[in-house]
Amino acid sequence: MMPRSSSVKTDRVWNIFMYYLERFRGVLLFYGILLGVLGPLLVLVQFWAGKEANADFQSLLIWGIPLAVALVMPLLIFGYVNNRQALDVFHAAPIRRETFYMGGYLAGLSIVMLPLIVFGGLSVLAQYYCFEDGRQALFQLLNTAISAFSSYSLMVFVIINCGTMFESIVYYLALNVGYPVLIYALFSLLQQHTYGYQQTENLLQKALFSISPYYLLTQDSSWNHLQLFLILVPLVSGIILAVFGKHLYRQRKSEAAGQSFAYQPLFFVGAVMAALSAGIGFLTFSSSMGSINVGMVLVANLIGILAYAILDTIRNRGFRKVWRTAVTALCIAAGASGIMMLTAFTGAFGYENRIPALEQISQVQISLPLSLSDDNSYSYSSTGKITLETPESIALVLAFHQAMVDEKKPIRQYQVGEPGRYVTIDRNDTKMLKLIGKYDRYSFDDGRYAQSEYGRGGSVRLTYHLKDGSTLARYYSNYPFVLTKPLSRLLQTEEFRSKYYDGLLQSFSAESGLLEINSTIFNGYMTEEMDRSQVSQLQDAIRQDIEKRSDDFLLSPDSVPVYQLSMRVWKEDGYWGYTADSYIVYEGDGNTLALLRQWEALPELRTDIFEGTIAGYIPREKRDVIMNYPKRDAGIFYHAGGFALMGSPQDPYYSDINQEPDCYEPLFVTLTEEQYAALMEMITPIRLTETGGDVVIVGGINYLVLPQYTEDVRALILSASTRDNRS
Amino acid sequence: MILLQDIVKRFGDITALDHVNLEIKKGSICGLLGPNGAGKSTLLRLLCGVFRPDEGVLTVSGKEVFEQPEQKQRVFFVADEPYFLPQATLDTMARLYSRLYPNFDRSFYEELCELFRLLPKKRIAEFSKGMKRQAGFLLGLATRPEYLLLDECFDGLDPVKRQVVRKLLADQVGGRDMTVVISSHNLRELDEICDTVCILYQGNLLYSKDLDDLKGDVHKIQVVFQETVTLSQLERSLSVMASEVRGKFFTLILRGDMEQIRQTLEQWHPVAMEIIPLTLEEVFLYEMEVKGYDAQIIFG
Repeated sequence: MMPRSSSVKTDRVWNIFMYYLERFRGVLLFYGILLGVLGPLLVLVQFWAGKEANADFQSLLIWGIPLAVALVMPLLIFGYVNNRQALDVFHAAPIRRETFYMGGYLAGLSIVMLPLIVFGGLSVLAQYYCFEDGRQALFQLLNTAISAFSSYSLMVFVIINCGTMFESIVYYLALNVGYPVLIYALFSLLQQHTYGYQQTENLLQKALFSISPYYLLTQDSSWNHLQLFLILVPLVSGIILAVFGKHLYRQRKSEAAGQSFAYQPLFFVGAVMAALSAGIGFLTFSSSMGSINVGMVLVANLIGILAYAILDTIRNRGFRKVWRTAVTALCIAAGASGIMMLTAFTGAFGYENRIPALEQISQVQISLPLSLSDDNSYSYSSTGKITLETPESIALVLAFHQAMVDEKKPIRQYQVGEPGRYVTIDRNDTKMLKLIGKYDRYSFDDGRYAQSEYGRGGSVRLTYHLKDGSTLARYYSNYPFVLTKPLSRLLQTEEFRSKYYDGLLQSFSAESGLLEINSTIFNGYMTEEMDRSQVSQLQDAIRQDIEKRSDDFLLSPDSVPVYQLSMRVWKEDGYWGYTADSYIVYEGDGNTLALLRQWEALPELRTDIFEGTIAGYIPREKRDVIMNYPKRDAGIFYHAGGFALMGSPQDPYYSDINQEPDCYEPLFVTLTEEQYAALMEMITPIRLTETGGDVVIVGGINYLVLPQYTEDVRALILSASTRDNRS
Repeated sequence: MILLQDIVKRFGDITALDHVNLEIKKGSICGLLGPNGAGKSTLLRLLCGVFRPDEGVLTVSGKEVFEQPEQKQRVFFVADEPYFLPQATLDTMARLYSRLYPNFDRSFYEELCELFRLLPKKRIAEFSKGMKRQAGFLLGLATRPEYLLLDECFDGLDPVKRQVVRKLLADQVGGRDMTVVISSHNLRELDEICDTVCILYQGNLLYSKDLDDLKGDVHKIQVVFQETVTLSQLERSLSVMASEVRGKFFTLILRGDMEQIRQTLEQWHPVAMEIIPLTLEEVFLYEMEVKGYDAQIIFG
């Protein structure tokens, strides 16, 4: 057994600690002066230039220096473990290895931390006095200190595991780059190919990323529970590495110096990580444009095998063990491929098909777009979540979920963009177009899938809270129209409506706020600053209007949307944040409109549409070129306002289709006031509905042509006077 | 006393030391002989606790050394290529050793610097190879070790400095009862200084013997007989390690007590008999040949 203490006076942690502090006092001094001078200087610069100025520059200098020192100090202090001659001095001395490790580790850490804490602390104080808020700087200091600690511990750990300085540096970098790449690639791959999974809502991913020392620095400097958790992960991992490093140092054989690795497991971790991140990274990148095929898998395997073989050859200092390397690399590739295949064949081990039973669910949270705005943002709040608890509502959600699972194969085919991502510009030339997404969810009317940009369009997020305390979350985007029947029924239920409206009203409650009013049909935008009483008045007006609405209003509004209201409030973090977003005000919402009119807050409407601004028409036979829309579906596309259907013809984004102007140039028509009024009678704002139809865009709002008026609308458009859209 | 019992040290597939048993008396100077790769440096690193034996027991003054500071403070190892901190001067190294070794003697260190005429404030990187060896040696002596382990310590030293080192070692051994283990692949270097000599070859200890006993036990005698005497007659009465016969003129390498050998030879009435002094190298060459080793390979 190792004695816990010895009578030899030099065998003291303090002795070694002081020795290193003395030896590297030059580094400490230089680093301290650097932070001591730059820190206050940059705060002053920031003060003079304004709070937001030079934030990146300051971060880079002030917070980057300690990270660099945290990288260098382990090399300076523990570099001797990979130097045989130096070990003849240090390990022959009457000092236990544990003492060497602890003294060296603490001395290096002190050198990294002391100037950071002293001058970082002064910087926080300076920020506090200059800006009356030092929290952001304090949090940044905390982030940097923990990142530096974690990075320092990792570097020490790597040096003790490796046998040469070169490998120490290479594997430190490999771990810091390879690990995040692998995590990112894995989750991206999961996101791309796991039906119902969405990466952004995954806490696990953040936790895994946060093990990497530098992840903290990519996070916002703000106080919240997630941040505190993300701080804890590198802190704990740094401590674990330090303690484990001590154990390895004690066991490390001096003769390992100069060899490729003192402990082989780190090589396997590093090499396997590098191989997997190279292979899976390739697969993630290449399959982001479509589904995975055999060729991609083979190339990914080859890349992974090559990455492993290179590292193993370096470790073996030659090709002596080439066969063993090859067999190991093949096993890794086969293992990784096997797991991927198994994941694919089992639907991510049952994840994709899992639907909880009604009796298991205590409540379900649903987020779905109810907005008519272009960007599909939710109609009232940034979260847009509605929690449903009645069996009837939950059953409707389950029915929708079941329909999504049943339609998994064709939907997934669409999501990965296999069919129709390439469209024919002319008969001889195939170009790839990034197609417009705003029509997505309305083009599913016959069960076929729109060829639109992935990620846009209808999306639903379901979060089941089960009675056993667990949760089950799924996310579906670009769902086909035919599957929305349960959802459309859901919009008519009492529970949904009441909660939706409650949430909506809640989003319009604040001490004060900034109201944004957008005209939906015409161009126009205004903002209105509101005090507490005005906010209250607005809330009351909206409530009164809502109370007048019919039960099926959400499904089928009985009046025309005229304005969108959004409200922003000043957040503690120092920005205007939306509490209500794109709430639609309809013509029938008399109280709200009256209030806005009373405030003179209604935008001055530009009546361009009557004065020559145009609606657009795409010849039916050409529409497949633009939208790849089935030819047999009758439809007319109109446009008014500043956004052309395909963007500006001069937009380089659409340059590919300029080759055949007829294909993209909409037929612009000028409508008279009467024609416009007639048109508005035959179209209706787009919403979730069980019946589809053609789409018209007027003033940036999507309208469906009512099925019975398809021919009439076409006739009306064709009878209107035309003009060159370029004029 | 240093005691090695069945010591085995392996480096991967290579067995550097294979069940080595050795005893080195306190206050003696032991020479470790062997060609490059014989395991000499490995043995020294085991003695000072840099390496840990894979098998066997290694004790210094009755206690194990590895990770035992109480024992390690008695031992100092001067490597064949001494390590100095980057940009270090002798004074820098002295400060390091005073941190590492509790018995570091600053005044003795200064004395030694003067003796070797080394400048304490000059960068060691600017020293010659021989000066670096001297620096390593004097720093080691300044730690006042009970056991000084020297790996090829005479390499690169000029004859004057060799003599200084020898004298210093003799003084320390005589004055402080210090034990010295010197490794070398050159027999002549150890001839004048060692009490005991051990021969290592391919990880095995071939031989370990007190030098005086060794030299006193092997003799080279040239003898001329008047009568006809055959070698086989001599071999029946004497322990003949090697011989060369030209008629009645015999050159014999004999093992045993010199007086007894002389009396034995007298029975054949030699006309002339002369005892020729043997160098240590010659003794070992004959010893190794008797043991069946090619001494030329062992000693180069």
